[in-house]
Amino acid sequence: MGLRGIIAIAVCKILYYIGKQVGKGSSLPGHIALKIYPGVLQNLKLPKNIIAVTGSNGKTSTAELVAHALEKNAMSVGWNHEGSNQTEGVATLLLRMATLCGKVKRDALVLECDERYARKIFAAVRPSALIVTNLCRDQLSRNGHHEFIQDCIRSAIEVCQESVNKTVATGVVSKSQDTRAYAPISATTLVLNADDPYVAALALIKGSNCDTGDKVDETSETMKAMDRAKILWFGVSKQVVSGNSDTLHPSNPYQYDDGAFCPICKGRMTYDYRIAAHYGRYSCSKCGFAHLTPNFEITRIDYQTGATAIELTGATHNCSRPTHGSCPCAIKTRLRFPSLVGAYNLAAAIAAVTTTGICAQDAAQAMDDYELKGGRTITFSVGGQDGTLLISKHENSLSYNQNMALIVSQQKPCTVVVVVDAISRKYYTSETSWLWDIDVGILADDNVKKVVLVGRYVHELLARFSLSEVAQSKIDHVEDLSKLYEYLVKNNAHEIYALTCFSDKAKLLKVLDN
Amino acid sequence: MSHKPERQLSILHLYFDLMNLYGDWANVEVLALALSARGFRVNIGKKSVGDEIDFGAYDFVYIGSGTEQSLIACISDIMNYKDSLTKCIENGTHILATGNAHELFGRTVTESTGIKHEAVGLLDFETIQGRGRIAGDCVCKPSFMQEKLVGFINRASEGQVGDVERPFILELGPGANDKLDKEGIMYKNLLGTYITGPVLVRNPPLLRYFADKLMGNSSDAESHLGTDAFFAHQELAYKMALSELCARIGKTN
Repeated sequence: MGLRGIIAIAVCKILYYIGKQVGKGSSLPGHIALKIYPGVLQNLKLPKNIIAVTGSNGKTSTAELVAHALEKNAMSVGWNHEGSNQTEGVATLLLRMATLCGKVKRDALVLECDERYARKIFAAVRPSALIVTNLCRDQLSRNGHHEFIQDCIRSAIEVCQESVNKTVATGVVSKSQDTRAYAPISATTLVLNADDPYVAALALIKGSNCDTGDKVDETSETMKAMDRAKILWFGVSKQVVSGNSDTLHPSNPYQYDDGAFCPICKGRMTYDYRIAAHYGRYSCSKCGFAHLTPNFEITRIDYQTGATAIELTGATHNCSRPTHGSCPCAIKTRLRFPSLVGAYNLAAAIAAVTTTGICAQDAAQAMDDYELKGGRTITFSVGGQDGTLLISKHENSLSYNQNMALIVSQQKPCTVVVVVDAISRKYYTSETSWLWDIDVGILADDNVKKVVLVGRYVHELLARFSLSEVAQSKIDHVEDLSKLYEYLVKNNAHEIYALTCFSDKAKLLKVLDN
Repeated sequence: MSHKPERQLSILHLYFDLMNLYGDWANVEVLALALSARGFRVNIGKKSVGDEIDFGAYDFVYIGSGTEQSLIACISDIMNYKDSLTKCIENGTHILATGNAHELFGRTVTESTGIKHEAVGLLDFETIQGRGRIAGDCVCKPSFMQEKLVGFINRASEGQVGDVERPFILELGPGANDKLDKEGIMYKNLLGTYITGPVLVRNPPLLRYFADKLMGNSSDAESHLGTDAFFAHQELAYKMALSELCARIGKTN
């Protein structure tokens, strides 16, 4: 680490410290440090275990689970929990933890990475394991569409492989450098959602130079291309959803079905069963691309007991504990708030943690009854009625579908409040097409007594709901968010579920606090 | 509305499951609603890749936006109907193609990898898909009506060149290529635009335009859309969006 590097690190530390005092964001220090020395990240001495998390939904929750499990297993962990998941945020994290010589004294790093910036991040910091949670319609005004994001992640994975090739070819890693950084030279282990065809298709990398790892089923000609890759697959089995109306309703296929066509060849896909949306056991009738049985599979979620039991089967990995021998093929843990979404995150996290040599059972035990700090539910009370705020994501129809289904599954008479007040933080946008992707008909349920539509986009919401199965007599609206409290005190006689996005959360809670 | 003679209209939602990336399906639903409000019996046909399609059986054809790869998949399918589709357009069938769907009617579409695909070739233009995204709100003035339209453009195609009538003059948002402040295609009753998603939901004037056109000789009805609650909300949402977007560019609506 030369003088410029030392200056960059020092400036980052100082700016981070100042920023913390005034409660400012966590990306500026990294941004400035990279301006001072663009190559500073490449010259850091990093721990061997770097677990990166990307994908459309569940990045933050999954990263938190991974970090928690590592810490519970006596590892010191650095992770970008402050939410800055682009290059500058990752730079801030690494540089503020580094010594002035550039050594990051942690046993492991957990990096939540924005899908579009993952390539840039991995060019500087190659992860030892990369979780891809799922790929769905998310912030399309910014992200284009899920296939575009799939391409971004694919190129990020290729960068990981390229850096391995380069390191081998040029012998960049010398004895004088920290051997933890890039040695042993091994490819990034991919931790992929087997049930999501768009994620599974990432395993097909042209010219990949992956280690030979666990051999996956050779169910098709196409999939043979990836049996050299080191991949851990996670997923949810059929019995988990059979006879259970969980939080993931299949959406109305006329609205959209991203599982209708193969992500590889655009042939028509068929499903033996669906877990949710386009997640399930799929196969393409044209090219043979098909679902593989996961190594880490959720086989049971017990909703009845409140706390949830989850079994993972087929969890084969290199366990560092000699007493375990061949590691268990069934392990159990409990989800504090049982849900399919949570189960996917959990399976992904456990799989990724095993890449550090921690046994799956120890990883699972660490998660037992763990309550996420970045939880997505907040309780409140208005006019003597209890309320629950379920954080969804604007511009992400699946997150709304999930929460609407969760409300209906509670089987309690209720009022549902939907708030869309600001979609973009910068300005009003006419991009409201995602409202038409939401399966609002889920709320056409006897227990849903009233649907109150709120905020600046109330007429878009009203237009959307007027073309749904929800009885028009149940629909009411409050255009001015600040009048919502008054409205609920006067008109509401049921338990409340409120749906909105992070961007509108603070405003809504302020109004509800009156 | 019962006093009007009942007439049947058929709408084809083409590639309904492949080209439906930004809530595009809503266009078909609201057009059917508007026509029903005017006393028509409306049939909606949904067809996709590999289906048998008789374009002559429909009064109106809608195609929505899809991913770049989905569009390529559509090209190979729609080429099977090149002649019958061209004949229908020449005979005046109404077609609305939103988002990248209108690229189907040009001569070629070239992928970002350089692979070039021959398209329907009805109109003299070519499209090249890029690696990035061109996206943003838009306000435009159509050449064929008084009112302005609002919407959102979200595309990979970098530049469309060729000799074709471009009906949408943009006040906000990207043109068909970086030298143009216009976009879209128009030929007889074929209308295409890069504006994505529920264009007919966001723009009641355009919905009325198509409803009027489709009513043809039986247009003895008033041009308002009807009493369904949807239309009132749609109108208010449109006015709000237009005023907000015009304020952003410092123009009056």
